[in-house]
Amino acid sequence: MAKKGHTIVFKFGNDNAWETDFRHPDSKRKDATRKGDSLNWIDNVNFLYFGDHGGCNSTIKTICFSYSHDFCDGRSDTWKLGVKMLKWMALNCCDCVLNTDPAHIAAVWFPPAHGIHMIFGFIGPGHDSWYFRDVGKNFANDAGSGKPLANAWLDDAYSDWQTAHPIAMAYGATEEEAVNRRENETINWRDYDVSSPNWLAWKWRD
Amino acid sequence: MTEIRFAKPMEALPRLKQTVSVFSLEAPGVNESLIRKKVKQVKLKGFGGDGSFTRDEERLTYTEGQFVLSLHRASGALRYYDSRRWQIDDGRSKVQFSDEQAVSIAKRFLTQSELVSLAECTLLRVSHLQVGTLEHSTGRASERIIDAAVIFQRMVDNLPVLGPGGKVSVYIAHDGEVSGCNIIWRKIKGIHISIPVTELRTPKFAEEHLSKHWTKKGVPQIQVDETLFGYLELGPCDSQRFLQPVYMMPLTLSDPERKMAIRTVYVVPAAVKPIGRLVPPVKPPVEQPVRRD
Repeated sequence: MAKKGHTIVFKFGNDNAWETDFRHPDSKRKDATRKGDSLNWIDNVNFLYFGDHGGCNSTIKTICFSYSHDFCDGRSDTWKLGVKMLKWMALNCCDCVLNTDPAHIAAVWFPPAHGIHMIFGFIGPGHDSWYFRDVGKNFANDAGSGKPLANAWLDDAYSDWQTAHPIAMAYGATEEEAVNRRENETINWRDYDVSSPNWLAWKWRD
Repeated sequence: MTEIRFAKPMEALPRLKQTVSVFSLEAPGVNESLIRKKVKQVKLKGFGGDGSFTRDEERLTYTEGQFVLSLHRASGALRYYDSRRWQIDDGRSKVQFSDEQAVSIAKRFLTQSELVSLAECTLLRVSHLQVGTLEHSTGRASERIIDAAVIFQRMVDNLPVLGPGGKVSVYIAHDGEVSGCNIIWRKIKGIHISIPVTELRTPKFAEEHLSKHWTKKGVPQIQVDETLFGYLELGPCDSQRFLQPVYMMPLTLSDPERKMAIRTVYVVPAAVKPIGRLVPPVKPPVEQPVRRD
């Protein structure tokens, strides 16, 4: 995205990416020794891309880190996405959702939504291989070029020969708003806030 | 200890001729005149030839109104789409045609456009773009299918072309009109070398190769879906000079409780002396200074 004129605020790899970067300071987590620091990191940027292992424990999305700070896993029940600045989050890992049952999608992704516009991820397993190494770069190029984000993600992360099933989700106060975001939102919509995440609209390819 | 399970091991090579060819591939030669030729082949309403070109390091793109056609410089891979219709939901319509009808529409498009030879295609599958909405306060939900994508696999010398390349996807909108297509189909220049079948590695060798590789990495559990034999063609962003025979094994790596899993594909050259590197190298990790609290 930097090539398209956007600013990279932080880029943490391996042991430099921490669970506390995602946890909201008000969130209580058993055995935590540090306060969550999301307001200084993931919620201090507009666009976040995460790539590593991931899972979904029933209705709680989890992401994995190579270094424990305070934990090796981040849990969506400690997140308040978009409460400050975050608009878009792409999760290049397994299990953004386990399936496409609307009730499941809602149960996982309504609780952590506090102003975020859209979330991008995979249904079930993600892929980590030579044929998937450009997913992040391609999505960043398309997003940075002003292409509609949901279609860009489905296009860049879908595999017609392997079982990679990307999903793009958009929030809105109304159904029309959520659908409009899903179909048309680009990074130029940054300042068009989601006033209330009462609706989710998603699209995916089987 | 690594536990490896082959769900569908390959007992023996498929029936082959006495030799298997390694093909040399043409350079993609992406330029404006090639893109104009492709635009004419697509022959869709609205594509009149008075559009504009944009260039970046990966693609050359022609845009005319809502129609976009681009070619990847590295591979010659073609992408065509109608930006007002491709993967776009109008909020109410849904697909009314069957998968069989979608296949017929896609075949007609490929026959008319002559973008690839239908005789060299075999149907891989039909996928569907699905949309849904849900209201948090009431739980009211709705779901629809808004397009079908018909995916064909290339066949060379009666062998399937494996990997991200050698594929054609034709996207059909809810009204049965073609809204886009992707083609990764490198042109063959000629036979570079013929390998006697007796000099090919066995499926057993390939499966043992995989086992050794992943055991060394200490992955607890591996489920190998199947062992395939065919030609490997890479994706749109990769340069490739030769089409070579390979064994390909899609697999899932996981921990014993299957709490975490990741999908990947393992490729083993079928020739004892393959030409060059088959798949692109893994990107090395970027060194970063140690982060402190």
